[in-house]
Amino acid sequence: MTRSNMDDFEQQLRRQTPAPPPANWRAEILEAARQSRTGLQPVPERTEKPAHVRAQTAYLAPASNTIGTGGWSSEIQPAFGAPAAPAGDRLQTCPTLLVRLREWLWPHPAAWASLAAVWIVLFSVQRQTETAIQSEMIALRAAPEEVLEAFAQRQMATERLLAGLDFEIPTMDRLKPVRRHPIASPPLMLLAT
Amino acid sequence: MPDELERLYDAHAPALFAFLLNLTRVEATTRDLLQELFIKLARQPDILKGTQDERAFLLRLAHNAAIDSFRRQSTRERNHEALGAEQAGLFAATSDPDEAEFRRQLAAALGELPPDQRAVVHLKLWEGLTFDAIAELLGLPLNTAASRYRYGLDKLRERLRPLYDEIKHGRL
Repeated sequence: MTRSNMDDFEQQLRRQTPAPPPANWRAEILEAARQSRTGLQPVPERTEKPAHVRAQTAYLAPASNTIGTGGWSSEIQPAFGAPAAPAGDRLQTCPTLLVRLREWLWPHPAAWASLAAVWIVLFSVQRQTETAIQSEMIALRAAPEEVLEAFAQRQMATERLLAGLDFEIPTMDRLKPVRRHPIASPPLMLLAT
Repeated sequence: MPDELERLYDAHAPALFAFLLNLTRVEATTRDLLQELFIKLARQPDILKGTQDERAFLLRLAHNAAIDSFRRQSTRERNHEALGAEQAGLFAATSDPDEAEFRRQLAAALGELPPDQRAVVHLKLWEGLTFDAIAELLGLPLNTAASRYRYGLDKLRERLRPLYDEIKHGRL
Protein backbone atom coordinates (compact mmCIF):
# COMPACT_ATOMS: atom_id res chain seq x y z
CA MET A 1 0.00 0.00 0.00
CA THR A 2 1.44 3.31 -1.02
CA ARG A 3 1.69 6.42 1.08
CA SER A 4 -1.28 8.00 -0.67
CA ASN A 5 -3.32 4.85 -0.14
CA MET A 6 -2.43 4.92 3.51
CA ASP A 7 -3.68 8.49 3.77
CA ASP A 8 -6.82 7.50 1.92
CA PHE A 9 -7.30 4.68 4.34
CA GLU A 10 -6.97 7.03 7.30
CA GLN A 11 -9.42 9.39 5.68
CA GLN A 12 -11.80 6.52 5.15
CA LEU A 13 -11.56 5.67 8.84
CA ARG A 14 -12.08 9.26 9.86
CA ARG A 15 -15.29 9.40 7.84
CA GLN A 16 -16.90 6.73 9.98
CA THR A 17 -19.10 8.65 12.36
CA PRO A 18 -19.17 7.31 15.91
CA ALA A 19 -22.63 6.57 17.22
CA PRO A 20 -24.17 9.07 19.62
CA PRO A 21 -25.20 7.99 23.11
CA PRO A 22 -28.78 6.74 23.44
CA ALA A 23 -31.18 9.65 23.76
CA ASN A 24 -32.69 8.52 27.04
CA TRP A 25 -29.32 8.59 28.78
CA ARG A 26 -29.21 12.37 28.85
CA ALA A 27 -32.08 12.84 31.26
CA GLU A 28 -31.06 9.89 33.40
CA ILE A 29 -27.44 10.83 33.74
CA LEU A 30 -28.14 14.49 34.38
CA GLU A 31 -30.77 13.61 36.97
CA ALA A 32 -28.36 11.28 38.72
CA ALA A 33 -25.68 13.97 38.69
CA ARG A 34 -28.07 16.56 40.12
CA GLN A 35 -29.15 14.20 42.89
CA SER A 36 -25.57 13.60 43.88
CA ARG A 37 -24.97 17.37 43.93
CA THR A 38 -27.89 18.03 46.27
CA GLY A 39 -26.54 15.62 48.84
CA LEU A 40 -28.93 12.79 48.21
CA GLN A 41 -27.78 9.29 47.58
CA PRO A 42 -24.89 8.88 45.19
CA VAL A 43 -26.54 7.37 42.19
CA PRO A 44 -24.15 5.04 40.42
CA GLU A 45 -26.78 3.14 38.53
CA ARG A 46 -25.22 -0.23 38.10
CA THR A 47 -26.43 -2.75 35.64
CA GLU A 48 -26.69 -5.31 38.40
CA LYS A 49 -28.09 -4.52 41.80
CA PRO A 50 -26.17 -5.57 44.89
CA ALA A 51 -27.77 -8.51 46.65
CA HIS A 52 -28.31 -6.67 49.93
CA VAL A 53 -30.17 -3.90 48.11
CA ARG A 54 -32.38 -6.38 46.35
CA ALA A 55 -33.16 -8.12 49.62
CA GLN A 56 -33.79 -5.06 51.75
CA THR A 57 -35.71 -2.93 49.33
CA ALA A 58 -38.02 -5.42 47.74
CA TYR A 59 -40.86 -4.30 50.00
CA LEU A 60 -40.48 -0.73 48.74
CA ALA A 61 -41.56 -1.68 45.25
CA PRO A 62 -45.13 -0.35 45.57
CA ALA A 63 -43.86 3.11 46.52
CA SER A 64 -44.60 5.23 43.52
CA ASN A 65 -42.75 8.39 44.50
CA THR A 66 -39.21 7.15 44.73
CA ILE A 67 -36.72 9.76 43.70
CA GLY A 68 -34.56 9.15 40.71
CA THR A 69 -34.74 7.47 37.43
CA GLY A 70 -35.07 3.85 38.30
CA GLY A 71 -31.52 3.24 39.45
CA TRP A 72 -30.96 0.77 42.25
CA SER A 73 -30.02 3.49 44.68
CA SER A 74 -33.35 5.16 44.19
CA GLU A 75 -34.86 2.11 45.79
CA ILE A 76 -32.93 2.81 48.94
CA GLN A 77 -34.79 6.07 49.31
CA PRO A 78 -37.39 5.82 52.03
CA ALA A 79 -40.87 5.66 50.64
CA PHE A 80 -42.09 9.02 51.90
CA GLY A 81 -45.81 9.26 51.51
CA ALA A 82 -46.21 5.58 50.90
CA PRO A 83 -48.99 3.79 52.79
CA ALA A 84 -47.92 3.16 56.35
CA ALA A 85 -47.11 -0.35 57.37
CA PRO A 86 -49.97 -2.16 59.10
CA ALA A 87 -49.90 -1.89 62.88
CA GLY A 88 -48.21 -4.82 64.44
CA ASP A 89 -46.47 -5.82 61.28
CA ARG A 90 -42.98 -5.57 62.68
CA LEU A 91 -41.42 -7.38 59.79
CA GLN A 92 -42.50 -4.46 57.63
CA THR A 93 -41.64 -1.70 60.09
CA CYS A 94 -38.22 -2.88 61.16
CA PRO A 95 -36.63 -2.86 57.69
CA THR A 96 -38.22 0.53 57.06
CA LEU A 97 -36.54 1.92 60.15
CA LEU A 98 -33.26 0.35 59.14
CA VAL A 99 -33.48 1.82 55.68
CA ARG A 100 -34.36 5.25 57.04
CA LEU A 101 -31.51 5.05 59.51
CA ARG A 102 -29.13 4.07 56.76
CA GLU A 103 -30.43 6.84 54.55
CA TRP A 104 -29.86 9.33 57.37
CA LEU A 105 -26.40 8.09 58.24
CA TRP A 106 -24.96 7.59 54.81
CA PRO A 107 -23.25 9.84 53.79
CA HIS A 108 -24.80 12.51 56.01
CA PRO A 109 -22.26 15.19 57.01
CA ALA A 110 -23.68 15.42 60.53
CA ALA A 111 -23.18 11.70 61.04
CA TRP A 112 -19.60 11.88 59.91
CA ALA A 113 -18.98 14.96 62.07
CA SER A 114 -20.41 13.14 65.10
CA LEU A 115 -18.24 10.17 64.36
CA ALA A 116 -15.21 12.41 64.13
CA ALA A 117 -16.11 14.09 67.44
CA VAL A 118 -16.44 10.72 69.18
CA TRP A 119 -13.12 9.69 67.75
CA ILE A 120 -11.46 12.86 69.01
CA VAL A 121 -12.91 12.34 72.50
CA LEU A 122 -11.68 8.75 72.57
CA PHE A 123 -8.28 9.86 71.37
CA SER A 124 -7.97 12.52 74.10
CA VAL A 125 -9.10 10.05 76.78
CA GLN A 126 -6.54 7.59 75.56
CA ARG A 127 -3.83 10.26 75.69
CA GLN A 128 -4.74 11.15 79.27
CA THR A 129 -4.72 7.51 80.29
CA GLU A 130 -1.32 7.08 78.70
CA THR A 131 -0.01 10.06 80.70
CA ALA A 132 -1.28 8.59 83.97
CA ILE A 133 0.27 5.24 83.18
CA GLN A 134 3.57 6.90 82.35
CA SER A 135 3.65 8.75 85.68
CA GLU A 136 2.97 5.48 87.50
CA MET A 137 5.78 3.83 85.60
CA ILE A 138 8.15 6.60 86.63
CA ALA A 139 7.14 6.10 90.25
CA LEU A 140 7.70 2.39 89.97
CA ARG A 141 11.12 2.90 88.43
CA ALA A 142 12.13 4.97 91.50
CA ALA A 143 10.95 2.31 93.94
CA PRO A 144 13.84 -0.22 93.73
CA GLU A 145 16.42 2.30 95.01
CA GLU A 146 14.35 2.94 98.11
CA VAL A 147 13.85 -0.76 98.60
CA LEU A 148 17.59 -1.39 98.30
CA GLU A 149 18.33 1.38 100.75
CA ALA A 150 15.86 -0.04 103.25
CA PHE A 151 17.32 -3.48 102.73
CA ALA A 152 20.87 -2.19 103.35
CA GLN A 153 19.77 -0.45 106.53
CA ARG A 154 18.12 -3.61 107.76
CA GLN A 155 21.22 -5.63 106.96
CA MET A 156 23.42 -3.19 108.89
CA ALA A 157 21.08 -3.41 111.88
CA THR A 158 21.23 -7.19 111.74
CA GLU A 159 25.06 -7.16 111.67
CA ARG A 160 25.12 -4.83 114.64
CA LEU A 161 22.87 -7.16 116.57
CA LEU A 162 24.94 -10.19 115.66
CA ALA A 163 28.20 -8.43 116.64
CA GLY A 164 26.84 -7.94 120.16
CA LEU A 165 26.32 -11.67 120.69
CA ASP A 166 29.11 -13.76 122.26
CA PHE A 167 29.19 -16.96 120.45
CA GLU A 168 30.93 -18.35 117.45
CA ILE A 169 28.91 -18.49 114.31
CA PRO A 170 29.36 -21.83 112.60
CA THR A 171 30.59 -21.56 109.12
CA MET A 172 30.21 -23.86 106.23
CA ASP A 173 33.82 -25.01 106.50
CA ARG A 174 33.31 -26.53 109.92
CA LEU A 175 30.33 -28.56 109.01
CA LYS A 176 31.06 -32.25 108.69
CA PRO A 177 30.67 -33.53 105.19
CA VAL A 178 27.99 -36.09 104.82
CA ARG A 179 29.57 -39.49 104.42
CA ARG A 180 28.02 -41.57 101.82
CA HIS A 181 27.63 -45.25 102.50
CA PRO A 182 29.19 -47.44 99.89
CA ILE A 183 26.92 -49.64 97.95
CA ALA A 184 26.90 -53.07 99.45
CA SER A 185 28.74 -55.59 97.40
CA PRO A 186 26.56 -58.33 95.96
CA PRO A 187 26.58 -61.60 97.83
CA LEU A 188 29.20 -64.04 96.66
CA MET A 189 26.66 -66.77 96.31
CA LEU A 190 24.81 -64.85 93.68
CA LEU A 191 28.00 -64.26 91.77
CA ALA A 192 28.88 -67.90 91.95
CA THR A 193 25.62 -68.95 90.41
CA MET B 1 -31.56 28.20 30.12
CA PRO B 2 -29.52 25.03 30.41
CA ASP B 3 -27.32 24.71 33.44
CA GLU B 4 -23.63 23.94 33.32
CA LEU B 5 -24.11 20.19 33.48
CA GLU B 6 -26.49 20.22 30.54
CA ARG B 7 -24.08 22.34 28.57
CA LEU B 8 -21.23 19.95 29.32
CA TYR B 9 -23.36 16.95 28.40
CA ASP B 10 -24.51 18.41 25.12
CA ALA B 11 -21.03 19.54 24.20
CA HIS B 12 -18.99 16.52 25.22
CA ALA B 13 -21.13 13.47 25.96
CA PRO B 14 -21.12 12.14 22.38
CA ALA B 15 -17.33 12.23 22.23
CA LEU B 16 -16.97 10.76 25.71
CA PHE B 17 -19.50 8.06 24.89
CA ALA B 18 -17.69 7.07 21.69
CA PHE B 19 -14.31 7.02 23.45
CA LEU B 20 -15.55 5.03 26.43
CA LEU B 21 -17.48 2.59 24.27
CA ASN B 22 -14.43 2.02 22.11
CA LEU B 23 -12.36 1.33 25.22
CA THR B 24 -14.81 -0.80 27.18
CA ARG B 25 -16.74 -2.32 24.25
CA VAL B 26 -19.72 -2.75 26.56
CA GLU B 27 -22.60 -0.29 26.52
CA ALA B 28 -23.64 -0.90 30.13
CA THR B 29 -20.13 -0.24 31.40
CA THR B 30 -19.92 2.83 29.22
CA ARG B 31 -23.11 4.15 30.72
CA ASP B 32 -21.85 3.58 34.25
CA LEU B 33 -18.59 5.34 33.53
CA LEU B 34 -20.28 8.25 31.79
CA GLN B 35 -22.63 8.67 34.71
CA GLU B 36 -19.77 8.50 37.21
CA LEU B 37 -18.03 11.18 35.23
CA PHE B 38 -21.00 13.54 35.33
CA ILE B 39 -21.57 12.85 39.02
CA LYS B 40 -17.99 13.88 39.58
CA LEU B 41 -18.58 17.04 37.58
CA ALA B 42 -21.70 17.79 39.61
CA ARG B 43 -19.95 17.27 42.92
CA GLN B 44 -16.86 19.23 41.96
CA PRO B 45 -18.13 22.10 39.84
CA ASP B 46 -14.77 23.85 40.02
CA ILE B 47 -12.90 20.92 38.56
CA LEU B 48 -12.94 22.47 35.09
CA LYS B 49 -11.80 25.90 36.20
CA GLY B 50 -8.50 26.85 34.68
CA THR B 51 -8.55 24.10 32.08
CA GLN B 52 -7.66 25.32 28.62
CA ASP B 53 -9.23 22.43 26.75
CA GLU B 54 -12.41 21.08 28.33
CA ARG B 55 -12.71 18.22 25.89
CA ALA B 56 -9.17 16.98 26.47
CA PHE B 57 -9.60 17.23 30.22
CA LEU B 58 -12.85 15.28 30.15
CA LEU B 59 -11.37 12.67 27.84
CA ARG B 60 -8.53 12.24 30.31
CA LEU B 61 -11.03 11.76 33.15
CA ALA B 62 -12.91 9.24 31.03
CA HIS B 63 -9.73 7.36 30.20
CA ASN B 64 -8.75 7.19 33.87
CA ALA B 65 -12.22 5.96 34.78
CA ALA B 66 -12.01 3.26 32.12
CA ILE B 67 -8.60 2.14 33.36
CA ASP B 68 -9.95 1.94 36.92
CA SER B 69 -12.87 -0.08 35.62
CA PHE B 70 -10.52 -2.52 33.89
CA ARG B 71 -8.60 -2.96 37.12
CA ARG B 72 -11.76 -3.59 39.11
CA GLN B 73 -12.97 -6.23 36.70
CA SER B 74 -11.69 -9.74 36.92
CA THR B 75 -10.29 -11.45 33.86
CA ARG B 76 -13.32 -13.73 33.72
CA GLU B 77 -15.68 -10.77 33.63
CA ARG B 78 -13.62 -9.14 30.90
CA ASN B 79 -13.70 -12.30 28.80
CA HIS B 80 -17.43 -12.59 29.32
CA GLU B 81 -17.96 -9.02 28.21
CA ALA B 82 -15.64 -9.47 25.25
CA LEU B 83 -18.07 -12.07 23.89
CA GLY B 84 -20.57 -9.32 23.29
CA ALA B 85 -18.03 -6.84 22.06
CA GLU B 86 -19.07 -6.99 18.43
CA GLN B 87 -22.59 -6.10 19.42
CA ALA B 88 -21.44 -2.73 20.68
CA GLY B 89 -22.70 -0.12 18.21
CA LEU B 90 -19.56 1.92 17.85
CA PHE B 91 -20.59 3.68 14.69
CA ALA B 92 -23.71 5.42 13.55
CA ALA B 93 -26.12 3.50 11.36
CA THR B 94 -25.95 4.13 7.63
CA SER B 95 -28.15 3.24 4.73
CA ASP B 96 -25.19 2.37 2.49
CA PRO B 97 -24.67 -1.39 2.80
CA ASP B 98 -20.97 -1.15 1.91
CA GLU B 99 -20.40 1.48 4.55
CA ALA B 100 -22.44 -0.49 7.04
CA GLU B 101 -20.33 -3.57 6.43
CA PHE B 102 -17.13 -1.53 6.64
CA ARG B 103 -18.23 -0.05 9.96
CA ARG B 104 -19.09 -3.45 11.31
CA GLN B 105 -15.71 -4.83 10.28
CA LEU B 106 -13.96 -1.75 11.61
CA ALA B 107 -15.68 -2.10 14.99
CA ALA B 108 -14.61 -5.73 15.15
CA ALA B 109 -11.04 -4.87 14.12
CA LEU B 110 -10.83 -2.15 16.73
CA GLY B 111 -11.93 -4.69 19.31
CA GLU B 112 -8.92 -6.81 18.43
CA LEU B 113 -6.47 -4.02 19.16
CA PRO B 114 -4.92 -3.73 22.62
CA PRO B 115 -6.74 -1.05 24.62
CA ASP B 116 -3.71 1.27 24.71
CA GLN B 117 -3.45 1.25 20.90
CA ARG B 118 -7.21 1.57 20.58
CA ALA B 119 -7.22 4.67 22.78
CA VAL B 120 -4.54 6.38 20.69
CA VAL B 121 -6.17 5.42 17.40
CA HIS B 122 -9.53 6.73 18.59
CA LEU B 123 -8.16 10.02 19.82
CA LYS B 124 -6.19 10.55 16.62
CA LEU B 125 -8.86 9.55 14.13
CA TRP B 126 -12.13 10.61 15.70
CA GLU B 127 -11.05 13.39 18.03
CA GLY B 128 -8.45 14.79 15.65
CA LEU B 129 -5.90 15.34 18.41
CA THR B 130 -2.22 15.79 17.71
CA PHE B 131 0.30 13.32 19.05
CA ASP B 132 1.43 15.97 21.51
CA ALA B 133 -2.09 16.29 22.86
CA ILE B 134 -2.60 12.53 22.92
CA ALA B 135 0.67 12.01 24.75
CA GLU B 136 -0.27 14.60 27.34
CA LEU B 137 -3.79 13.26 27.70
CA LEU B 138 -2.72 9.66 28.21
CA GLY B 139 0.46 10.47 30.11
CA LEU B 140 2.73 8.92 27.50
CA PRO B 141 5.98 9.94 25.82
CA LEU B 142 5.37 11.46 22.41
CA ASN B 143 7.17 8.66 20.56
CA THR B 144 5.13 6.03 22.37
CA ALA B 145 1.88 7.69 21.37
CA ALA B 146 3.02 7.89 17.75
CA SER B 147 4.22 4.30 17.63
CA ARG B 148 1.04 3.00 19.20
CA TYR B 149 -0.95 4.80 16.55
CA ARG B 150 1.24 3.38 13.82
CA TYR B 151 1.01 -0.18 15.13
CA GLY B 152 -2.73 0.11 15.58
CA LEU B 153 -3.29 1.58 12.16
CA ASP B 154 -1.17 -1.10 10.54
CA LYS B 155 -3.28 -3.79 12.15
CA LEU B 156 -6.48 -2.13 11.03
CA ARG B 157 -5.16 -1.76 7.51
CA GLU B 158 -4.09 -5.37 7.38
CA ARG B 159 -7.44 -6.55 8.66
CA LEU B 160 -9.60 -4.24 6.53
CA ARG B 161 -7.56 -4.11 3.35
CA PRO B 162 -9.64 -6.57 1.31
CA LEU B 163 -12.88 -4.88 2.16
CA TYR B 164 -11.41 -1.42 1.77
CA ASP B 165 -9.98 -2.22 -1.65
CA GLU B 166 -13.27 -3.72 -2.70
CA ILE B 167 -15.21 -0.65 -1.66
CA LYS B 168 -12.69 1.68 -3.24
CA HIS B 169 -12.61 -0.15 -6.57
CA GLY B 170 -16.36 -0.45 -6.57
CA ARG B 171 -16.67 3.30 -6.36
CA LEU B 172 -14.13 4.02 -9.07
